[in-house]
Amino acid sequence: MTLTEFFPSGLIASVAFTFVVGVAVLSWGRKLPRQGDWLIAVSLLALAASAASGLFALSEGATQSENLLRGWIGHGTEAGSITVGLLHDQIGLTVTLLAIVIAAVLIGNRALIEREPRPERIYAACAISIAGLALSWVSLTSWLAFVGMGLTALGGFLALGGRWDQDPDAAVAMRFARDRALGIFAAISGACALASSGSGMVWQNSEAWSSGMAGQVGGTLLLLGLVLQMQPFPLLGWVVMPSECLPITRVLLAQVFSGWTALAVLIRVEAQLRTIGVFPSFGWFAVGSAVLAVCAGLLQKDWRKSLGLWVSAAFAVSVAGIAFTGAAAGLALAFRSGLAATVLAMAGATLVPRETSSKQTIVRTKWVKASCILGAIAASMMIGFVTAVSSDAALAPLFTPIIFLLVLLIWKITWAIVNHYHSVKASLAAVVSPYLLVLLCAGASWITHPTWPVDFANVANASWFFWAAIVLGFAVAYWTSARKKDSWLQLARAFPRVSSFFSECYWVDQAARRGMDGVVWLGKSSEWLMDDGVWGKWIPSFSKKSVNALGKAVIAADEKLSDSLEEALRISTEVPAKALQLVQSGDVQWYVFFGVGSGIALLVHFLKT
Amino acid sequence: MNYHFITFMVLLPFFGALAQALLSGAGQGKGMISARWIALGASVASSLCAIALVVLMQPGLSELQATEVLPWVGSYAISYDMGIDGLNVLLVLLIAVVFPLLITAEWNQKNSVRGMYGLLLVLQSSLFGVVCAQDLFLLFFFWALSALPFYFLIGIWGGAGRESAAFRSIVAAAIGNALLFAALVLIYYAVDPHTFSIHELSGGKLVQKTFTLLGYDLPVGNVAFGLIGLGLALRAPIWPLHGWFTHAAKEASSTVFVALCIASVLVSIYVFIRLSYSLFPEVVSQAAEGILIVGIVNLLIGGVCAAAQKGLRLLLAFVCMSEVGLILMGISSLNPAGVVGAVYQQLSLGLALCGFGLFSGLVIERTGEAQFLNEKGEAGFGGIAARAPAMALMVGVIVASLLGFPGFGGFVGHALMMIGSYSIHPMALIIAVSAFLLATYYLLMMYRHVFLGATTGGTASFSDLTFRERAYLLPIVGCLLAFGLYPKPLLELVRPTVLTLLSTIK
Repeated sequence: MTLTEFFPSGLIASVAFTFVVGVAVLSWGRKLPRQGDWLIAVSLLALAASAASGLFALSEGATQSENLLRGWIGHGTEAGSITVGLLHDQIGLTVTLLAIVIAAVLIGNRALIEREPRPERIYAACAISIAGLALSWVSLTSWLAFVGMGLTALGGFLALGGRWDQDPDAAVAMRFARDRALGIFAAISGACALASSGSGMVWQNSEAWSSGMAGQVGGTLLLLGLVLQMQPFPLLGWVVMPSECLPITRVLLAQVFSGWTALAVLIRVEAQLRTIGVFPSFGWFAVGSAVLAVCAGLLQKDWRKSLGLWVSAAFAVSVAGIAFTGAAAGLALAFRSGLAATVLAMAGATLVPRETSSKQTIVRTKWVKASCILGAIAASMMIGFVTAVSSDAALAPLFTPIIFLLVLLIWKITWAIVNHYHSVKASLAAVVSPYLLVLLCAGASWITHPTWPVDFANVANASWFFWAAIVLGFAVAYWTSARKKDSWLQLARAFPRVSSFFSECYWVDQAARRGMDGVVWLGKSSEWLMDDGVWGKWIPSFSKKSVNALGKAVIAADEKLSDSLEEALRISTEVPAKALQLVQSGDVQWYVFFGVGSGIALLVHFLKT
Repeated sequence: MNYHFITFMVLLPFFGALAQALLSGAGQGKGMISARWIALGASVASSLCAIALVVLMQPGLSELQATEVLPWVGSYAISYDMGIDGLNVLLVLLIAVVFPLLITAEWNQKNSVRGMYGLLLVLQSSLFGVVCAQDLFLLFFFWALSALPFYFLIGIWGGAGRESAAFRSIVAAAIGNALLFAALVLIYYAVDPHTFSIHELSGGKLVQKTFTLLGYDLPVGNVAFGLIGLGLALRAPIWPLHGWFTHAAKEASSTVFVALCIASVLVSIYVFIRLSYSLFPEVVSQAAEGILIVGIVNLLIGGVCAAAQKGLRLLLAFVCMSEVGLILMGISSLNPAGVVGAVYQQLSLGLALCGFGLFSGLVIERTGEAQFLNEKGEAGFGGIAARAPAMALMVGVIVASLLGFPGFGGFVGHALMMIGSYSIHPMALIIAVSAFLLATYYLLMMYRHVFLGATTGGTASFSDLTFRERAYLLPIVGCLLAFGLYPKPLLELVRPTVLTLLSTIK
């Protein structure tokens, strides 16, 4: 069996193994040595080996191929059937490997994860998220990718729910799960609409989707679902909810991996979505979302929330990049921003002092802070994105201010981390981990290379607007945040209500809560009306009254009828009886009766004639 | 080869029920143990016959298989005509899986055990009879018989208001059955020679048949379809005829309510599909939009009412109502994907409702209450996941299936129904999406309040699932995962029959 032949079954087996190991560690991790981190490492290694073997086969000359394409629900060949399969291509395998390396770096940073009360949940979340992300990126159809999205969402939920037994963390985890579920259902519905029109959902069959209503509705719902997975406005509520969980698990497992998983489907169907013309409106929506997220992030008091909002904004800009220019821009920014945010989150998490440790010493603090700054630099140097966007001069006025805002916020966060913490005892792994990620960040542009080559020669030709925006963003951030007093916090204190409006993400959650209260009221009213009112009270009472009234009427009629019958009977018996009595008593002779009767009969006869 | 599995499947629980009646001194000790084992034995034996029947079914055939025909009342052309095909195979499987689990769930029942087990067995027997019957009179016989046990099961083993709930359920069933019977009589006399055989009546035999009422000529098909639809709507909780169902949800024990959901709701839908698609193909095509509207109303109102619930039992009732709406949407699509999805959804919905109902019973048994939020919106109990992780995991799977997450049983039905519905009624998809989003809200909210967060006083001593409880929840969870991940064998049993039935509809 050649490597190419072995690849599909090996890959699917290793993905399944990773998922099963994740579930096993979640269930029995507490009883396993080292909470089962070694088991997760083994599964990730197996998955990495499968992905690497696939890449190796491609580098040896194997061609990009479809594998194991078959019907999951319905026959694979029919329109409207739900098919699954694996795609053997460079970008999918590269992203899988990248995610495995990041997860390995996180798992290797054991001292950090052990700060969580239930580390095994984080290990399990890592494995399940990676299984989901890998499944999504190597999937040949959208359906298997949806399973991957579901798994990644489950991983994020587990990561956020490390402290399920505390109400605030439980609320954040459930809110996250609900938001992801909304996106997944919207995407599935869109895919169903497309499938109903006979549009193939297999990536390689890139025929245009139906230009009719099915294509429009399906494409819009699919794109909406995918965009919602990237946590745009108005689904920012969970990002700013208070939570005790580690920033790295929150950013990497809940945000970055979820976004990257959705990106897999988004770039595969980009061409089809472009043909039905739904991109421009989503592009503008994403731009608006990015601006709102950055504005909300600038006024946060907690850098962790700001970082979450920055990731959301960066992913929104990625969507806008895909919408207005193409997949290369979006991919470059999404990977770079995800990695940079992970660097900052990991370094920041390392710098947060442990509550349990009373003996904090200044050990390697500068190294960790330096990694933060490197992470911010990596986030600012949006080479791939700028290059791709620069190819269209008309987009400069749109993206320049957005890049300025992104750079401003990431540096504000960096200064907040660097200035806030002064003493930390960090392990060697904790110090080295962010640097490893920075190295990956430097190579992020390479990730997009296999499918969408980035022309580095264009970097120099990119509009100077973008570079000016980056420099200006850094300068403004330094001026407002790096000095003794954070100007943004001062601004927030000066205008508490306006600041609360921004920092609580424009009170969308409150409005949504009111809306749901309305639905609940409607439900209660309907239940009261039908169950208690119509069926519980009115119909039984009406039926009872009707039956009673009918019964009374029947009884009255019956009595009346009985009386009448009695009267008639009485009369009909009394008259002859009286007559007979008169005859019997001798008061009237019987022949008188006969004579009177004969006389009446004769009279009637003659009157008739 | 016909091993008379259907007859065994129908009769074994009935004999089990008879044995319960003949058992002496079953109130205490050994008698109670015998009653339990006899009940479980009869139910499992019947279920094994059913499973054997399903396994031996030949895929790719649209005709009835394992048929058994015997004359019953010859002078009226009534026969014992049973068979299995793609329309009823999944319900046979569902009943086979669920009833032994219900008996296991009532293992510790102390109050009149023989009565409860006997009635559950009669119910199992009658439901197998309804779904396999191919003679209208026989179908009606089993269908009417299935209503009776509920009167006693609710009235004896129910909550404080059990008498009124039992009365309402039997009144609704009686009216529904009367309407159904009127339709059957109408059909019987409409054809010459008179017959109750579904096979002989199918294929448009009732087209252009009329009868005279008060001097007007009325089409038999339309009137019978209306009567059957209305009669079954009373037994399946179709809005606004659902009042008795929610009342029963409040008062019936969880096990009985699960049986009610399967018997009344899912079997009603099956009877509707069987009769309307076989006997009135033309009327169905005319009434498709009406069925769709009824489905949409159920879907939305069920969903909105579910969002308002703070108790597990009523939440289950309204989830059931909402899902019925979705299934009606699939039926109304008159399209292979939609109808196959509707048939498949009966199986996965039945399993998920069973799991949810049994879970609510466990919570009520342990905490003494069904309300997870009080009137002020404060948590009634919470943090169960910390105390009972196995229960949290299993209920997570059940909720995921109810929501239709990819890879779980519910996804298959939901996806197929959406694919089928969209091509006929594009707006239906948008409405279904809204209902899913609403379901996401209320089911996840329930999960969060029951399982996550801080442990309250009521759940401080909450214990995880016992061996017996795992034994009856695990098969449900296992089936939901298996039927979600690999639905192909079951779909291949359903599809040919659906295609054949749809081919008769213009």
